[in-house]
Amino acid sequence: MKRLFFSTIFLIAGAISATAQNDAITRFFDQYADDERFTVVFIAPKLFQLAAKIETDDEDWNNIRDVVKDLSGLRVLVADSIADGMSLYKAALLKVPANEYSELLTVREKDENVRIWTKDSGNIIEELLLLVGKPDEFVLLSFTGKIDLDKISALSKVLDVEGAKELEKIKTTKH
Amino acid sequence: MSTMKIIYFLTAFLLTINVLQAQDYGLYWKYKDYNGAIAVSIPRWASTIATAFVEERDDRKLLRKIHKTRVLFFEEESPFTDRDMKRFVKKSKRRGLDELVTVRTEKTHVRILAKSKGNTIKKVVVLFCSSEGAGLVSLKGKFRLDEINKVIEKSRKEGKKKDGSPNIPDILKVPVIRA
Repeated sequence: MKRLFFSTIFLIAGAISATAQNDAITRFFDQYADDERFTVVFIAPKLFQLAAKIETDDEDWNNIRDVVKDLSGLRVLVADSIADGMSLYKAALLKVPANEYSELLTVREKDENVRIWTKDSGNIIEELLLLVGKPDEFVLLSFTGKIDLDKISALSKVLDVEGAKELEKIKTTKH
Repeated sequence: MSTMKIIYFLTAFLLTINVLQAQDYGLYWKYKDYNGAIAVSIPRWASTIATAFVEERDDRKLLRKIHKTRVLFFEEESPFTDRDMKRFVKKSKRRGLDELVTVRTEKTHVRILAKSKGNTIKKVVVLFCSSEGAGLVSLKGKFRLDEINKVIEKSRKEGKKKDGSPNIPDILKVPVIRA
């Protein structure tokens, strides 16, 4: 009985802790959702579901559809002319729970910092998190769903969002 | 007896008003008579008549699917308050509309919501609000995704790039506006 009680407590504590970690990123998005220095974009799963049903003869679109059909959400937080890009980058960096996300890519070029993390469940990538920090620019982008790293870079062509071009780097790293 | 009749009449009247307002979650009915408002409500028969002036068969078919269109537009400033926006989203979710896209850049908010069942889109609502104006477009009908595919396919063929490369449907291009 005691064992059952403690294991239940342990499970509840584990679940709360996992939610809290995930919430850290969500809270970061929410914190700046109404800040006018930022552009905020949220694409709901429903749009991805609808877009996946659109069939055309276009080869490019069909490639994108392959990626889109497994996605369940996109959140973007962009600021392209701010003074504290690097401090925001560092603040966001601290919010990413290291035990939950595994680092996929790190690039540091002059004053530009790019980091990409993935959150895996078995062999499936459930979330891709992209963080870009420059002195005057900040990008936080989160894809959720069933993500194929080989195909996700195709989205950089259609997403008219600052920082999305960094997704191309995944392709470069993979090959 | 007459008092009872009045009560019944008032109850029926209030319920009717409530149902009418519910169609566009209060915003249209609240602001349509405001100073500077451009409010248009197009019933189904008007859309059907309008099909007579459309040349393409597919476009005509799609236009016939529109049951009701409502447009509310403010050119100079937005009368919508934050409370209005929050209530709008809350009410629309309660009535089965899913939020598809939300974009906020500086003082501009854009929300696109839709109600769908299987492969049919039953309602699309676009709400935008900025310091320079605001608007609400509500489209009620029965649009099958294969019909939308046809229109996209047609516009893709017509709007081919100069270098001959195929155009990707713009559905995923997020409308980020920058100053």
